[in-house]
Amino acid sequence: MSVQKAHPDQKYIEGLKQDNSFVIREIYDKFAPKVIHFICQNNGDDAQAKDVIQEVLLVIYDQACIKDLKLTCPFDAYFFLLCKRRWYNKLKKKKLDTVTIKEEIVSEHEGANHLEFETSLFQDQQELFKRMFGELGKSCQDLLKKSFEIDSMKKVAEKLDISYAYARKKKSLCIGKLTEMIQNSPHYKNLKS
Amino acid sequence: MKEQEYILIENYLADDLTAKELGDFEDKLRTDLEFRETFETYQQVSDQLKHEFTHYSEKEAVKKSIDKVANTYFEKKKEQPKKSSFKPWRIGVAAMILILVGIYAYQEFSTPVYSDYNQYPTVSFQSRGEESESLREAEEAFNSHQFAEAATHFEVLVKGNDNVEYKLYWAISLVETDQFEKADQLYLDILKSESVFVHEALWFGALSKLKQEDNKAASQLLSQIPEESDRYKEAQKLYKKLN
Repeated sequence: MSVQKAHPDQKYIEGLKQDNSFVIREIYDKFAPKVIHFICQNNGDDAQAKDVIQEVLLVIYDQACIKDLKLTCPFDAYFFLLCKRRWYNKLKKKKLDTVTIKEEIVSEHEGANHLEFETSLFQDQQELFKRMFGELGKSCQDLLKKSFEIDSMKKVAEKLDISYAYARKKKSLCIGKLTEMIQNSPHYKNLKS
Repeated sequence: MKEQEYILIENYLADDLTAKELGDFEDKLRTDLEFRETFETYQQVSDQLKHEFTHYSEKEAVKKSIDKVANTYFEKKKEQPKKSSFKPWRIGVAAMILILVGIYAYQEFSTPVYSDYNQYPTVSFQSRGEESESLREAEEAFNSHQFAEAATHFEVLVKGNDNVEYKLYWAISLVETDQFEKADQLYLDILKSESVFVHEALWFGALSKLKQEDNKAASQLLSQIPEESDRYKEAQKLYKKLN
């Protein structure tokens, strides 16, 4: 993470992290209109804009929680860029290749481009993680879920009716397995931050 | 071999290594790049799992908050009319309005002409004995807009009977056939008669002047039509256009 001083708009990130409804409302009031306008101008509608905004906010939330996201540019530029990218990717998925987006997906704000890249990378990593977790054996999935839901490994061992030592060992081996699967994925190299 | 590494990493993250083990571990991180990469990925995976499962309820709560705000926001947005979205049909409507306004303005402000007013209701005279034959012919001619013929019939009728009503229709027929001098004389006669046809004579007399393009005289006649007359509104309108 950057050591740069956080932008005053960091308050939006913190508000989101803390599940502050007032801040979330402020984000919608201030920053949603631009996104909605952009999507509606580019083969989309209000409902699709609504989905994009919600998805982007959740990615920001995830990144803020896991990576302690620090905003180094105005939230507006960062958020708009993320929404544009996400919409562009959706259009590509729908095979609307003929559709040319009306603007380049680059912000005038240098910091925003950098931060958007980091968030997009984070999002791809998260997707790879989820996909690989789904491919993990069921016993590993169960043990990992329990290990992280319940804060004590002793209780986890009791619940799964296994020894404490085995539970701990199994946990590290399961995370190790998942680590390996991710590292061996063809996408992994592109996602190294 | 790898299994031992994972157990070691897990113990390191759980802060569960002896001082010796910790020293060795940190040395390995510095020197063994492959190990370092494995460690970093392991740590990321561990963080993801924590976020997904330990903080599951927090994430669900945020999702709900975002949902709620989004629904309210988009509901409100739907209720507001769009400010200035371009709609082609609006041009059609605008053009239609423009045309209607144009037609109205044309009618309202263009110089009035006689042909705007020379519409007559079908006349039907009551039969009056020996006059009945001529009267029927005059009526027919007038109603079928054969004004020259009608004028002849009304002339005959007026000579036999100094009837103001016949005079009026004779005058109208004369104006239609551009015999203004006689027509205007007849209108004057009617005006002097103090009959119920005075207002009609003022109105049709004005139309005669209008056809002769004597707007001043037309206005002068129109201005004499009193408020109680059925022709008053029409007369006022025409008067305003002429002045």
